[in-house]
Amino acid sequence: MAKFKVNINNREEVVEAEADMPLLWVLRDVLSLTGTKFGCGKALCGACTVHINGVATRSCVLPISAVTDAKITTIEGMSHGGDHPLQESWKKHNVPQCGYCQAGQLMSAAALLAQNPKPDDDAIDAAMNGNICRCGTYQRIRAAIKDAAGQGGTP
Amino acid sequence: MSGSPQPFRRLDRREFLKVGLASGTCLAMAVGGTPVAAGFDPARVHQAAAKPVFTPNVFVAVDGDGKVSITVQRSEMGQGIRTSFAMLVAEELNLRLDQVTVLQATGDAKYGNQNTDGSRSVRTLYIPMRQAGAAAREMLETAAAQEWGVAVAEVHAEDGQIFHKKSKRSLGYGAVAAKAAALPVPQKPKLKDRKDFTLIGKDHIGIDVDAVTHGQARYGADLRLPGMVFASIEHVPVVGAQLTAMDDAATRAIAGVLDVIKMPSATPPVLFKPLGGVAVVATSTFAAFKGREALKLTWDLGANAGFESGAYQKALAATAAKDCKVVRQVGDVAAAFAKPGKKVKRTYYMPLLAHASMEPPAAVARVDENGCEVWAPVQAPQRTREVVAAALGMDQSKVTINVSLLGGGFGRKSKPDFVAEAAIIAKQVGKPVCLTWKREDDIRHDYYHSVSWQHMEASLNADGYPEALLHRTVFPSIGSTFDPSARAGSEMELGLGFSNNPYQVPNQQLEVGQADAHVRIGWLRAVCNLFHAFAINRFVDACALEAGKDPLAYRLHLLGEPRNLVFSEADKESPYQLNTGRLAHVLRLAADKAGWHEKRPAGVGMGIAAHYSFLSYVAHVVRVKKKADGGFVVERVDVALDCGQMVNTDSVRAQMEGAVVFGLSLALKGEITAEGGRVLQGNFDDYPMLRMGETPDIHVHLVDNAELPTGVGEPGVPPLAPALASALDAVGAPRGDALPLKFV
Repeated sequence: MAKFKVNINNREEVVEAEADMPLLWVLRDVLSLTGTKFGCGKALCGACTVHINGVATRSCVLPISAVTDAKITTIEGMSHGGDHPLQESWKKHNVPQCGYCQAGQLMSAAALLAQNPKPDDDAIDAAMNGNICRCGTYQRIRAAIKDAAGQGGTP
Repeated sequence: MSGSPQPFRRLDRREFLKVGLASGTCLAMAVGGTPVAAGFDPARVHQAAAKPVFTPNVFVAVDGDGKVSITVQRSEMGQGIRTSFAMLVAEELNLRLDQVTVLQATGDAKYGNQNTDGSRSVRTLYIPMRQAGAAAREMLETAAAQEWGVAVAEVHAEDGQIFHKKSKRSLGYGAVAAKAAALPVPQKPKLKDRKDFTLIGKDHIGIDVDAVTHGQARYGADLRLPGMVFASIEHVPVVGAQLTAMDDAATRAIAGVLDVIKMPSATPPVLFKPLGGVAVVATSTFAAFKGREALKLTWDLGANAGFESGAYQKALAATAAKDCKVVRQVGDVAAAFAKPGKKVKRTYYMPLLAHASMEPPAAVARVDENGCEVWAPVQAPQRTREVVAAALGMDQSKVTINVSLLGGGFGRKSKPDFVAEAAIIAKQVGKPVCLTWKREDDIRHDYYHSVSWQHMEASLNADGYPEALLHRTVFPSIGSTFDPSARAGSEMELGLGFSNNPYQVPNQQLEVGQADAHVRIGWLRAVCNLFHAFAINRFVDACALEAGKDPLAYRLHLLGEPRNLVFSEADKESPYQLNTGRLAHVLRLAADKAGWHEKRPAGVGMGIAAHYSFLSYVAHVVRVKKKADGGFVVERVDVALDCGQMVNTDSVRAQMEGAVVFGLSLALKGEITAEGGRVLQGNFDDYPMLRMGETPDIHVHLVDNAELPTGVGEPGVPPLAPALASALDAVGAPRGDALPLKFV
């Protein structure tokens, strides 16, 4: 076990964990931040997506030792007032079904818009293809991203 | 419990009446236990009516301040039932959705049947849930009328207040709650007229969306309790395998590993028993995973080790090629086949499928001297209570099942084997346990959707329509999970699209063959309808092609005049008989909206299919386009649905959209295979799912009518695969009659 200083959602935390423990399990099992979900453990489904210095990253394969100097953002810290345009848009379009993958979907979408405020369909596909939704909410996710980006999406 | 699930049989009128009566029973029962909010909350701080003074039934509670809570007894897995049921109760209470708090029931018989399966929550509880709200409203109105000494007919409850217009007086629901509680509960409260609905039949945002989008929604592995430890299980590699030797020294040496526990192997019938294996308990889920990797285990694989998917498929085909057990005979098929004329003969294959909900099985359990409490994503909380109690040798009264949100269910989470595992480990270690299945555990140790082979033959008359039809279906039965001697599809399974084929053929012979199960077989979204709808729609297309007729016109001709069809004794009394006119209507609707009759551009193909399941009518038109690189893309899907009276129209639409994606995943990619008894696939790399870039434009067309509410969660899936296969035929790229089609 080792101690790691991490910055999560703008808070400095010191966590004790094995160096190879993926960030996902540090968040969930050490810090009890359970909004980030486990889906596959192999960076195949995107349910565990968080931001590392603003970049959408799969936390299930990212060892804690690799992120000690990084700024980490999870779904719990996605917005200060809980009013990120995507969170509003997700509600307007009634996107979630079971909701389990949606934290990861939102984190991927937020990173996309931060980098590309007016993404076209291809850019959305490229950014979101790593996030599986078994309930099949893709059409609404696409519409919600476009809406949040101010392009208007057909609901 | 009997163990045998009967989630899919049709509800006959007698049962329908019983449900109505049961609701009366519920109405008479006082609230007990402690339902909890937003999935679950161990501290129960969010309970709205903290001190309810008025609880006319187990579903409604009103406190002295007028706060109203509604308890939903069915499980939320994305179908929107928490919102729909809150709408039904709030509608009759004359409240808006934002004026009520929605609580989640624990598993308890006092709530009536809680099994969330068979697309039947709204179907069976549309009236009872409204009665629960209406009874409360009538009692509040009566209490206010008595308070004022006026006739009940002169008062009216609305928006949390009861008004007496004549005297311009009003009282809050809370102010009369105590008085209402002393009144008798009306057994037949008056329900609103459809034209007066303010909530039912309209679009509503799901009540849990905010929790979901802010990372606050709680699923099976999200509860954290003081002193909690984390566990994961290396399951038996083959159902029925036995552990013969174990070396866990390396596992125990891993930092964070606390304990290694042998879990006994399930013996037949496997039911919902824990499958067996070795559990690793640790200070984190990751340490438990690592501990599993370090285990050295030796197995006696047992009788199922010979299971090979390739050989198994050949055996199914061989069975279906010969005479099987006749389950229906109309006219004389053999005589019709002996006549000269066109013949059509095809076979259809669909492999095993895994559910692969995004949330793998997971549960939290705590066992102490007071009993056992679990928090779990389960579709059947009462069954879970029974299974956990049996696993612990504990009386059910000491077991509490809190139902979290489900990160997808699709039938998998009707089986509480994983919850019993968590409880057994918690008892053993004496600490609260959070159990997580890895994705590989989920895909390799599922209760699989059954593999199937079907054989169909027809002779066509001079006009090109079937004169005689032979249909054989062969698949290992769900019944095998409950009784290893069950070797053929049950009546319930055959009723899922096989024995209720809506197309009229004067001579018919239906046969069912025998097949052994070598994995746990369970029900998956739409169940046997998936393969029966595939075969029947593909075969109708094959006959239409042979006859040189348009597939839509061919279907409409075979459906004939609008009329109700009766396939069994139970059907005779059913209020839900299959109506050919309603099926024809969704076919025409989907076709019209998709532009079926318009000239198609070069390289564009369309396929159509329709299926009646869970008492609802669905048609799909799939449009595919040839790409420049020679591949194909699914451009657009039009879905038409008639499910009778709808509750939340937006969640109905969402279910149809999701069903298209689910259907495309299974039609294009879904295939579980085994070698040496072991399932070969394990994660989303070898058991892939449809992704955003492959998702077509989906257009949903809902039929608005006042027929009895019928299923929504499942019926949107079955027509997709056959419609897609037909679209590929139409674009000159046939991919055959075995799923998955694998064209991308």
